Amino acid sequence: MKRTLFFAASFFALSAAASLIAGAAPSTPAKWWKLGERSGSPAKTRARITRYYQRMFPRLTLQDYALGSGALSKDMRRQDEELGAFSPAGFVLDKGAKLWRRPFPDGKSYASCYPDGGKGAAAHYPFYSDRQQGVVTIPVSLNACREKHGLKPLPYGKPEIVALETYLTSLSNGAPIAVEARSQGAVRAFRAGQEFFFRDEGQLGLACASCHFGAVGHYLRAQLLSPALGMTATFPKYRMKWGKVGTIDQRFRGCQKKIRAKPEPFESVNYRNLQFFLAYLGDGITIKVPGNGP
Amino acid sequence: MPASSNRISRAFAAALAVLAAGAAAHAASPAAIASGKKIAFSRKKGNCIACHSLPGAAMPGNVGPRLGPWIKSVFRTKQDLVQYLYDPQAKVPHVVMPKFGKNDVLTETELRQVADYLWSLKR
Repeated sequence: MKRTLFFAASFFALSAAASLIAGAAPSTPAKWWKLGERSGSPAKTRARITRYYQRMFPRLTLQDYALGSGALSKDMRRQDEELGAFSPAGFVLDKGAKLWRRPFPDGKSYASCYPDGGKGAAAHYPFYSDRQQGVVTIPVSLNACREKHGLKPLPYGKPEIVALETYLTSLSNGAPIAVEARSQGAVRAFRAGQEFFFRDEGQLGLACASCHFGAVGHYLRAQLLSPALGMTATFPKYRMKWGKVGTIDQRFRGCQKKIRAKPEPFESVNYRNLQFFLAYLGDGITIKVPGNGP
Repeated sequence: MPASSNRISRAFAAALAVLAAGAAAHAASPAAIASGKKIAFSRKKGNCIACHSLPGAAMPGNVGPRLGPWIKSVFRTKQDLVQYLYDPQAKVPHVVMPKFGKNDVLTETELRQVADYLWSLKR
């Protein structure tokens, strides 16, 4: 029974693959769940994961992964580009720039909190802070900056902080993601993010990895499941579904709702570890923000 | 053919149908099949078409195989299919599919109705 089903499953995976678009149709290699193994260095895990996708999509270069599901389908890519032409994300960027330049009560501004006034800074986010014993994401750093200069923190996920994050991240457009995981704490945070990515959650009992490794390149109704590599490179992103620009945490919340799990608050420990894990996987992939997608 | 003989043959066919229905006492009722289909297509319930193609589904997903009559040769009994839907990983470890019974996504009755529907697929 087990065997018959397994063969049936592989047969259908292959035939479904053959009928998919653009020749990028994947037949999922067996044992994707083994990518959840937490042995060796983070670099080794990243190499294993990159190899997994390379085997599945041999024609893609590392940079192609910045396109998300657009890397796997010409139609999807065209759709994203067309969206970009009419995207209201530019307004959010302008709003972010304005907020960024507004002086604090002490005369300083956000730029004073980042090296080089924020230029290229986002490529190194998120990072693990030994002092704070946790992952520091861009929104967390923006609020820390405010508090340092006598302002109240902004509520996460709301338009103001999303606009600021969009602007600050855009100052690294064209730069490759350069996130490191060297210290003991950083490795622990990376592993925690990986563990979360592979943990079955919600009533549907699915993990991030179930879809983004196990079923990557397949369709969930009309939605093409994207690779985990480079996921962070285009966030904050304008999504037609949202009708606004949102952060990667907002995307995490959407995925969690879909698997009927309780979404976590923005910038929760789990989400920050997850951001760290994903950004590290995407090292070398060029940042392009704000992204556009369905 | 005279009208009377036509009537007789119709009566005969009806009797045969009753007999056949009796022999397959556990065959699914059209109502159960219809309920099963509704569950399979509903986003809030089974949502089978999120991942599987089924006859009449608009924009189905393709994470899993297109569902059709092959199901009967793979599962042999309808109860085996219900068991699979209840906890797929018990049969195929790591398969990307929700535990529809074990995680209380669907009730026992609903699982049986979905199985009735899937068992009835002709293409």
